[in-house]
Amino acid sequence: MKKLKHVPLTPSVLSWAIAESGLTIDEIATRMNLDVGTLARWQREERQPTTLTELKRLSQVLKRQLATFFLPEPPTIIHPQVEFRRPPDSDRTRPNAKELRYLREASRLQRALSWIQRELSVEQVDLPKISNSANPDRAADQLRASLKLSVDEQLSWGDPAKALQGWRNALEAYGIHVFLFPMGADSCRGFSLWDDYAPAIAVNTHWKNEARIFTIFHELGHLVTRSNSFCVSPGRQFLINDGDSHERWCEKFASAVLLPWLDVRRVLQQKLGWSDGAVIAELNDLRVVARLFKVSLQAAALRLIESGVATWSLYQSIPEWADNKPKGGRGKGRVRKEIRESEYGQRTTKVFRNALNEELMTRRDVLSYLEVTDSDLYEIQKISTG
Amino acid sequence: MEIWVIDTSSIIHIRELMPIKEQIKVYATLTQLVDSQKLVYPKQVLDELKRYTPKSTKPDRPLEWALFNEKKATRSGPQLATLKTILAHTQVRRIFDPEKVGVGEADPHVLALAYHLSTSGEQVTVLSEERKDRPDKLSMTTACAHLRLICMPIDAFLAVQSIWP
Repeated sequence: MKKLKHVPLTPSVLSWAIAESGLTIDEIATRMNLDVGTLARWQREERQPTTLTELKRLSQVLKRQLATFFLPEPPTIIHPQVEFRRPPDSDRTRPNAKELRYLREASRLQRALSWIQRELSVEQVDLPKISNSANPDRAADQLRASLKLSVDEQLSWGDPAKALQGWRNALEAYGIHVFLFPMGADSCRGFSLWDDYAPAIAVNTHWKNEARIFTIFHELGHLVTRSNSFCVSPGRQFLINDGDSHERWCEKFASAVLLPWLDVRRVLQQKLGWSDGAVIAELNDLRVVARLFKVSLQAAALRLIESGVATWSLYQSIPEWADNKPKGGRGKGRVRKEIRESEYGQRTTKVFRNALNEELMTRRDVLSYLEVTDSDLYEIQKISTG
Repeated sequence: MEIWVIDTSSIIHIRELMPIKEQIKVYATLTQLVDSQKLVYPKQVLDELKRYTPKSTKPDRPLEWALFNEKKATRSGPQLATLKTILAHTQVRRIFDPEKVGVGEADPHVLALAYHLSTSGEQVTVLSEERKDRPDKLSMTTACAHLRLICMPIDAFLAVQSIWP
């Protein structure tokens, strides 16, 4: 281990990076295999790291570039205003470390994407701005018409994975970036970040595809109402009287986009022999609707309840594990390019490719944003010219 | 002595400039410059190049070159005190984006090494392809200007040195 005479990191920057990480001092010390006292002495400038390895570890744990710790003061960063939305019975009051890390990543990407689009004179994304006092069904109809994706096409998708890709493609074609991040079971379902040139939705991949689809459209509800949000289990808001009305609106909007009532009605009649006035009370019937439209049981239940053909007892009968991914193999290993394209989406790689082709960014710049290998980037460029 | 500090962007850019046959000759000439202590880079350049090469495959030519020359080219070691000095400059500190998650960028370390050599009396030129400032990041060219360091792209350097074409 290389010993250094002096590692002159800035204590105030260290304290700032610790606070921004969302981790406690204990968690950081454990991850660094260091005692809490040493870390506290670094913060008070009574001691400083003595090896580059210690410094690198600090930089890895706090997810900051090494140079950050040598700034004379904490950087002034204008963070996007993102409301932390949770059910009233949740004990969470702020985003956790993983959520903060992915918010930083999404927000940094968004700033770059937005800048590229403006430099290339690309027009703003024409996503309607809708008040959350508007009728969610009407707002959903308006949005669905703009997406130019028919219900027949939706029903033709072979499985939920294809449906997720289909929806993602439609939103990306509209100008909306859809990021898929592995935020884990303890994190929010998703978050939204408005920007005139690069609006973005981030979805937690912890849950199965049908649940991710619903999260995408829930977050789209936040984008159309221009209300950047972190959303923790939004569905449960419905079951609690004093729940967040904005979250309820986004849930209604999402289920209405995914399940246009006239088409749901047709399916109920054709597949379940349903007639006007009858109530859908069986979980198996709900499964038929959910499977056909490739949506979660929650999404289907909300739609039926909102349309007056089911009651909350149907929603409450949905098992807690309904959104969990099926157990099984972890799939084949993916190369970094595949991981990045899956996380950032094709629109993001396309915009960076344009920046490279138009010499707005160097090859190194693009590599740094996409975190792919140089040969991956050649592949990405080939796709654009091939 | 005249010393060039080369950035990751320039090492990578050589591949864009010329056919493979010529690249081999150019990299060999750059090795001679490293041997004569005229061409250097910080360790972080190597780290960045490693990140941009798949672990499972043989190093590509830029990484192969940087690995081969690591010992001599990075002999100055980390310039952390100088890094702190240059980041005290309100404009220069924008050379990197503190919000970046993932592998660190070499730019601030390239700049620190160049400034360290310059203040030690060497005649330093930074080689970098970064010329366009962005809202969240200053280009290497502009950062060098703030520190009164010369910065030039690799093709100009190769031409001036009669290396290529």
